[in-house]
Amino acid sequence: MEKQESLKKINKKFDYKNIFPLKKYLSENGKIMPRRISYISMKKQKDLALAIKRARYLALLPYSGK
Amino acid sequence: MALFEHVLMLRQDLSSSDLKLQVKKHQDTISELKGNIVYKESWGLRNLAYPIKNNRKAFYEFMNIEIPNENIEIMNSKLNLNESIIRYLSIKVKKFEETPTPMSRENE
Repeated sequence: MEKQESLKKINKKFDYKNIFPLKKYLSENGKIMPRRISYISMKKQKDLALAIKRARYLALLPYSGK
Repeated sequence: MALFEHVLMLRQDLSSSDLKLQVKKHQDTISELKGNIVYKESWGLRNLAYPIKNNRKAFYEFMNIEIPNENIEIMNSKLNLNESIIRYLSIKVKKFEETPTPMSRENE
């Protein structure tokens, strides 16, 4: 049951309105993790970057610093 | 007609009646421009990740709207003139995501 739920979460698209999954992919300085570290597909990485940038514009996530 | 996700950020020092007035005003301009508000929710007063125009907090208002493509520019230029709105974001989407958004659930 738990496994299914976690799978569902992974399959969901990144969204600027849901910032908790995005925070996982920020470094300590607030930078977006490169793909060699985040280890997600190109498609998702692009999605992630867009979502983080939108969230940053709305001041939900920092541009730099914690 | 196009579908837009719309987020408004309002100044922290507005009173609750001022806040209501501003949101009402915005809704009026949308309906003036032949737009239609499909869904609306308030994320409340949130801390900003960095200060914007000396604001450390802001009121967030989220809307799903349906408005003709050419009118969104007019609406946004009106928002630029309004001093109690510090920032806004309008994103064109193919279809609306499920509501309520995760942000509103977080506040509860």
